[in-house]
Amino acid sequence: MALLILDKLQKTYGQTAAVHPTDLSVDAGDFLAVLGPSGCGKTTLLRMIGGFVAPTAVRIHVGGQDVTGLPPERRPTNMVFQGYGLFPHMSVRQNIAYGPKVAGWPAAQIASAVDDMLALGQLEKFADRPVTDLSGGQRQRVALVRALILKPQVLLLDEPLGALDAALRASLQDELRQIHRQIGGTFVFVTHDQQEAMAMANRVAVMNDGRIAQVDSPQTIYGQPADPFVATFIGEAALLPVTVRQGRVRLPGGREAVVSGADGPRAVVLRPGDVAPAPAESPADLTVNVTDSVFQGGYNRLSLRTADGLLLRADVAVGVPLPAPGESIGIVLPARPLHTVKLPS
Amino acid sequence: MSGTVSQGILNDRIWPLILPAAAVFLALGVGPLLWMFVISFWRVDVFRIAPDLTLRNYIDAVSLHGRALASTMALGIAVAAICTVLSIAVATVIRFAKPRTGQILLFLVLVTLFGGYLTKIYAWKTILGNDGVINSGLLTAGIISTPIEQLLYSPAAVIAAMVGFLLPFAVLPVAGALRAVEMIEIEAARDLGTGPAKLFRLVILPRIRRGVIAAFLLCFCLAVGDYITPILVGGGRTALYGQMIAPQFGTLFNWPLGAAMGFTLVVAALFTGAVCAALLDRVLR
Ligand SMILES: Nc1ncnc2c1ncn2[C@@H]1O[C@H](COP(=O)(O)OP(=O)(O)O)[C@@H](O)[C@H]1O
Ligand SMILES: [Mg+2]
Repeated sequence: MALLILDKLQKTYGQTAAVHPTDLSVDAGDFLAVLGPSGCGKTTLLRMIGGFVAPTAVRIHVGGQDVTGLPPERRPTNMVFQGYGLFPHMSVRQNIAYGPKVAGWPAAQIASAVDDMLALGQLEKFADRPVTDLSGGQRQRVALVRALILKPQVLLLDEPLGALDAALRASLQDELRQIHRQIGGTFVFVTHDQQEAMAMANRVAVMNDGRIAQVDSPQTIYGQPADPFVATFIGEAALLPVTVRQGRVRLPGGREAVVSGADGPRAVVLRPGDVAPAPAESPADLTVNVTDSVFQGGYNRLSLRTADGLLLRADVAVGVPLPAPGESIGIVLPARPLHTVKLPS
Repeated sequence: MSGTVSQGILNDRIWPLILPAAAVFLALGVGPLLWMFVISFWRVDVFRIAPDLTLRNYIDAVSLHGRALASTMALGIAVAAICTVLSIAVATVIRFAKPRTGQILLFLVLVTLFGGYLTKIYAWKTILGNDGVINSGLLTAGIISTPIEQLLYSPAAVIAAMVGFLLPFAVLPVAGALRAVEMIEIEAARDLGTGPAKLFRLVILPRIRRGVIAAFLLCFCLAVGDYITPILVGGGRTALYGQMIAPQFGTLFNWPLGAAMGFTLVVAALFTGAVCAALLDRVLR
């Protein structure tokens, strides 16, 4: 049974729809990433769950309870805000203790819960500092454990790492994943960073223009994107136009390949790992022109252009002979069924 | 961090720049005060003040006018408290109304500052006087048969007039402090279980503590030093300290006593203000 259910959740500001009618369900224990470009409605979606934005039409259920009409303070959710929202007139400890204090926990219970949270966020050393003295990463951890101390049924995080630099972000990603593993619980976090979504979540909801385009595991999102937007927003992809007949396509090199998807004009999704130079003496699926070749550390990345002007990328293991830029080469596509999406408009 | 920045900018060479301003301030501000301080220990010979070193004036300042001093402090506290409470309400509306409405309200508050002090006092007379708006309204309605004279010339009238005049001074610091309270803090507090009523007590008041104390002190100082309002609106019935100081430099011609009363008022106001500020600081934390 799903813990969080959004049933036709929708928000319009005047004439413009920030979030189109959206269904989404999140299971207990899920770490769900809501991923999409800036302005696609992620924050609005999250704030409707938290109770900060009144939806235009819908139901929101958390743990079987309809919370649609409840104000934030009465919802079984807690939020880590974009920009943290710490109380600047309080110390780290006071910030963390705030929720339990308002809820009227006994003092001894508050003290021990705060100590647990200080340990969880590695904040023991800063416990009695004013939060205004902390660095961005430390503030982020205070905001996180301040929300976690109330053991929310669903923890909502709005671009939690958005304001931090790359190195700090990577280490906090690990920390956040560890915390999720340690305490269990259900996290819904919003990000525009696809690497972050893939790295942290066990499920990813890709949003585009106020709609959820696909909800799946990171592997499925990457391997079987639902539409051209998901295919190109998540990782690198080239979309090779083809015509599908009875579940098959004829590749330019002559081979008949099995594909997913309905018959008609479609596009094959090609990831850099799917494209390889054809071994000598074997037939190629496609002939391309090499435009660039860049050493990436563990592999070389080739930039390729088809006769129709489509740009492809291919990752080639170090040690395999490399074609030079300007050369015309044959490439092969995987033997497994190819994934197709509808043609981009 | 701000320390290092200001150390970098405020090096020794810029100090001479404040000399002209300091000279004016010392000559015109501190100088006369020091002179008055000296005079407060002198005495009056027949229509002439004469150098002396007596505490007589201070003893008189407290023993002859002690009651007036106490009621002045009480009036100051009452006016400042009313202004502070009202200013919190007004500033809250300004801060949390729609941006446009908030701006217009703030503008209206500021505009009343241009109204002029005497204009406002006389406005109160036309409201509270025997043929003022209230009395003539009540007479016409037949609720009373003779004007209520206590409307004007009462402590309540003095307090009302002072509050009307001082409210904008209180709104400004509170509105400034509220502006620094970000929406996201309030949302975080709500998210962590704070209902609207507790929100004020637990988050907003502690955050605007300094602004509230500033508003209180500003109103308190201006109220205890005011001697025009009590005369014009309070008539002879309210005996306030400022009213008793002014004639010492005029009709009564007792500058030494006037000076001593002035310093007594300053010390009493500083002390009372400090106690009130400390109390507010504890209550609002
Ligand atoms: N209070 C508001 N009033 C009007 N439009 C809004 C408001 N909040 C958000 N929007 C619009 O809704 C859309 C989605 O915004 P948001 O949810 O913040 O996107 P994201 O978090 O994905 O960047 C944007 O086009 C934004 O301009
Ligand atoms: Mg956002």
